[in-house]
Amino acid sequence: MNNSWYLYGIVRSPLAKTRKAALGIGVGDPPAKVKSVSHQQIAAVVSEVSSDAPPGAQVRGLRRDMTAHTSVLERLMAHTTVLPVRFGVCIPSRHELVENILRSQYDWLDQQLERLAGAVELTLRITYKEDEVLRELQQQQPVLSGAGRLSGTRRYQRVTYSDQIERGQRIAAAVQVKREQESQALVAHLRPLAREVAVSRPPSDMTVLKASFLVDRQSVEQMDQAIESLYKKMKRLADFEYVGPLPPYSFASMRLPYGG
Amino acid sequence: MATQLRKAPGSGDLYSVMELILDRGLVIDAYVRVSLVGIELLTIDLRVVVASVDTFIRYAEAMERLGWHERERSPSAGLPDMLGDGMTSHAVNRGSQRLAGAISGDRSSNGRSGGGRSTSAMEVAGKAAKEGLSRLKDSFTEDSSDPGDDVQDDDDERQEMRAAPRAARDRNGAENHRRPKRRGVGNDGAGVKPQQEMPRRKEVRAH
Repeated sequence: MNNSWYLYGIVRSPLAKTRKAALGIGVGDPPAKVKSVSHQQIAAVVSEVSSDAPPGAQVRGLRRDMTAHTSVLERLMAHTTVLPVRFGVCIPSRHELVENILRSQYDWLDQQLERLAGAVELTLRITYKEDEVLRELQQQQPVLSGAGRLSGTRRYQRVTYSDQIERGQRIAAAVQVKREQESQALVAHLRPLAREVAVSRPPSDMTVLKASFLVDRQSVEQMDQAIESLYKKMKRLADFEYVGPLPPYSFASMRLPYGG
Repeated sequence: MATQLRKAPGSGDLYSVMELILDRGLVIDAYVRVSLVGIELLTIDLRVVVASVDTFIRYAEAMERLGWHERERSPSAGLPDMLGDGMTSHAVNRGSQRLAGAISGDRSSNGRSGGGRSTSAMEVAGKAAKEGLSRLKDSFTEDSSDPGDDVQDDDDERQEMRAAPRAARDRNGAENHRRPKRRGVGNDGAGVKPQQEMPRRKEVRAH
């Protein structure tokens, strides 16, 4: 019997009885019961997984297990501060869990729970609607749209092609300038409403902003209002994706050294 | 007051949190035991390429298309006017040539192309663009079988102007055939991100 402990996150100990009951079930098939393992004032939230189990029953990178992982963390978040662990971490034994993680990293984990106490994560992604931003750029900088093409002849396609690439590069540069300016203004505007801000590298050339905010639970509504009014101003040009409250994944992104 | 803009994560949409649980959160190096091979591929796919030749072409064509739309809307420069008034169409053509000349001037000086602000990705893409130019051009000429091609040989400028927007759209259509191939990975949740971009583009084409 080879049992490991799948780790969801770290919370304060002791957990109130009601919270223990709310832990529920987690990863694996059938889904295992979620438990807590305490050490002084912190606790690891875990469930047992068996590496002897058939592949379907083990924890895998599937929708099923990822959903279970996020559900456990969201249930915890409803009641208490949780330091979320990345998907897929299994500790081989209870002994190692307590010794190498809870005990040897106690001070650091305790400090992180203090830092995140009472806060949740809100994510914001703002993306330009391509045609709209190009239209706006064209109005502001008419030369970007060119004016058709060079004198048309049989060589129409060949000549226009390289022209188009260079023109496209110029347009892309203009888009980048615009979105960088807009991104900086947005962050400056929203930063005062949050404890911390984590700005990500834009995943596409149409992304204006991809950021996470660590926000006091009681300040979420204020952030909502600020983002709503930004949306009203920008909705012709851009789409908004605003998600939360979430456990503070982006503010727990650290590598815990193994052992002591 | 509850806002409709903010989405609660538990609302069934796994994608919005997937990146968070895979890429963020506390990592305890020695203990990542769950099979994550497929996940690593997924994570790479989530990081969309920033700039590429396809992107530049798409921008240039979109701008041209938008330029045509603007012209069609304004009564003084609509297509019917171009067709009806030989002098107007000639004047527009002359203007285009002068503008194109100004742009070529820009090209050589490299001043306005935002040299200082170009990302290295764009410079690389620019070089790749020059290298891959003939290859792409070949695939385009193979794909396009529209009447616009025949019209190119025609010396009538007015017919050319009429066919040009359509040719542009057809090239876009041809491009779309190739696009899904480039995206690659598409298993389970892995295909979610690329597909999220596609519908937006389709929306644009419908104009």
